[in-house]
Amino acid sequence: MRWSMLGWSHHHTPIELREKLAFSSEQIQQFLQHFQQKFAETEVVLLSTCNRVELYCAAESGNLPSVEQIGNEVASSRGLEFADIRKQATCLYDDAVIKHLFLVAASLDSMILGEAQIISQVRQAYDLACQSQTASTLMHRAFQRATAVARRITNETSIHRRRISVPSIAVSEIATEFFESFDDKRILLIGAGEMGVETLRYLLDAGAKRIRIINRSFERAQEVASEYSIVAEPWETLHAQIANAELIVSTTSSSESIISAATFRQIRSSRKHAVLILDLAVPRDFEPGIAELPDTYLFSVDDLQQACDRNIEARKAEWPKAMEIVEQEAQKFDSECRHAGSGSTIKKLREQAEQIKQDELKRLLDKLQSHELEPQVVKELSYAFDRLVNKILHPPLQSLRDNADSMQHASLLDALKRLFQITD
Amino acid sequence: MLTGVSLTCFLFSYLLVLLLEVWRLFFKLPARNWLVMIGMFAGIVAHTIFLGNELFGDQSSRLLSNWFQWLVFGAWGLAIACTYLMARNPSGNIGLFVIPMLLALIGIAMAARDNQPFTSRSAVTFWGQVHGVSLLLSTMLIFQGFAFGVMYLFQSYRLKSKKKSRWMLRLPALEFLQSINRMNQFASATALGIGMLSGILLNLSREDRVSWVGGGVLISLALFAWSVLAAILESRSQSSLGGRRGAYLSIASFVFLIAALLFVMLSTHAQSTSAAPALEQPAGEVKGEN
Repeated sequence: MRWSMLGWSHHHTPIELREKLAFSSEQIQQFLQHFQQKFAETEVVLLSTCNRVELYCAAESGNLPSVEQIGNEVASSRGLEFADIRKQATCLYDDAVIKHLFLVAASLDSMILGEAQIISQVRQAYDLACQSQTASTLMHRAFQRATAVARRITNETSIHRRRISVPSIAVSEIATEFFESFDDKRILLIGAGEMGVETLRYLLDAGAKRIRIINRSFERAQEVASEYSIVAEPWETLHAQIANAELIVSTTSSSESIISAATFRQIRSSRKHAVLILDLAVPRDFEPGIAELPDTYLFSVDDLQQACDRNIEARKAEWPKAMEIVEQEAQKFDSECRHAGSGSTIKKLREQAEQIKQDELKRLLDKLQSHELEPQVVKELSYAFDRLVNKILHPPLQSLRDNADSMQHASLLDALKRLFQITD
Repeated sequence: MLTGVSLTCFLFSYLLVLLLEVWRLFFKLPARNWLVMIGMFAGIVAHTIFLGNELFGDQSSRLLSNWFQWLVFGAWGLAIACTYLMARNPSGNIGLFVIPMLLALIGIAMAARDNQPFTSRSAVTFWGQVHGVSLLLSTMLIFQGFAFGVMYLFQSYRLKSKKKSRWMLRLPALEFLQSINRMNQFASATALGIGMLSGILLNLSREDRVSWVGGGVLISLALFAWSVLAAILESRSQSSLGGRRGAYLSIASFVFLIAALLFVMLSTHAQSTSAAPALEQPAGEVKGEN
């Protein structure tokens, strides 16, 4: 069996080109169907994410389409010339393809090491190929194993455990140092942009229930509030909301700070309770001097970035362990494939031997018919022939099994076929 | 019945857990939580057996009849509370702060081992028991409150200054530390109040009077008044993060308690003469009164 992978990933391909190469789900299905019409013998899966477009091909027997053929199909479907994008392409064959697939599924090849999204994207790519009927035995085996490898790495290493985005760290690592639970906390979210919404999701996941969102555009705040079932407040009430909140998360895109130290002191003067401020905006929304006030804990993006960097380093430290698992699994997969590949040859060899045994036994019994053999004697003769066949076949088959993991396996299989004249 | 179990057995277990907690600051330890829990469990089992032998081994002596038994019993309660809190917060280094308090109680117990047993001359049972147990409980809670107060201040300072610990020290959330502190303050004030009241009733039932001007009585009254004041101040704090004041109050309560304990242990009050009130006198005196 043969494997190949042609792809463009974040390693060598700029985002502008990746954007041009990206496929939607519908486009993937159309492409797969078109591809299989041209190369009927080939199983194919197309993985398209924001960081990579990769085409996995496999064939049980016969030849795979060439790089040129695959490249031209991909490029033309995107309205490009393969010659123009060939330099950025990565092309892998056989064992390297499987290892690469395992790395991708386990997010060891991702831009952000250990990110959780990739495994669902790999599964989705495989599902689309199944729906398009372009994935068969080989792809089933490879993609199901890739999912298992990713799961094993998740369970056996801590590569996925530490959060590495600023909003996730803000909620899961910083806010949890202060609060034991979020359900009864008065939370104010300032800003309804992308980061604001992402932080909101993490807060809701953490159990927050009393969230108020405030934004310069009240309509936008209301839109987010209705989508996530929280309360929107008009911008004019900002000071009152700050005075009341126990946790403030600020994510505006304001070009200057929205709350000065003097204003903050004035706002909070009548309040006795402490407050945690997670200022995720750049430039900062809260003046740094606010951190000096008693019972006020202020964290800016820089403070959170340090935590992100620490977590990234911690993930990197898990890399060798994860790679070891990938190596083991790739080797195991290769060995299983070889074994599965030799299965049909062994079956034919056994059938051939059985046929010879049956013929010879019949001939002998016909000759001995005049002696009126007892049924027990006939049975013993049949057993003797069976034992003979098994003893003759045992050494070559044992050698084949023993060498399933070695490079000699293919040559042994070939020798077996030639010596016993077994044809595929 | 298991007479070979000595104080060293559980002391060693608790010390081992403390070492594991210290070790964790510098190195990762696989199955650390299990080891800590096994250590605490082994310590509590040995502690319970030892306490059982002490309290019930000698039929002729009375229950909690001396400072040693009284303090070992307090340490036992603190060990159980500590194990529960560690199980509830397995990722935090709670043991690092609470176990030294536990060891301190055992240390004081060992120092007071040769002290005279409590004596009493009047036939008091119920109020004596209530008096001793409530004072024991308040002592345990104040010791625990001290550990959590220190933890709160440390965690608050670390978060305020955003200093990353050079060690792998991990403490529970400020809110959790504050809630335990609060609980300790209210519970210790209540226990001290019950101790005071039962002490008064004990004296009245024994001698028909209370010697209000006695040093032990005065210091007990002052400790109780302080606990009530601390609890009132703490109750006025509504914030989930405003536990700094509570932490200072817990530390002050601890200092006050140590002073009170030293005074009572070094004075004649614990050995309660006929003239001395039983206000600070633990439950030991209540059994075997003849």
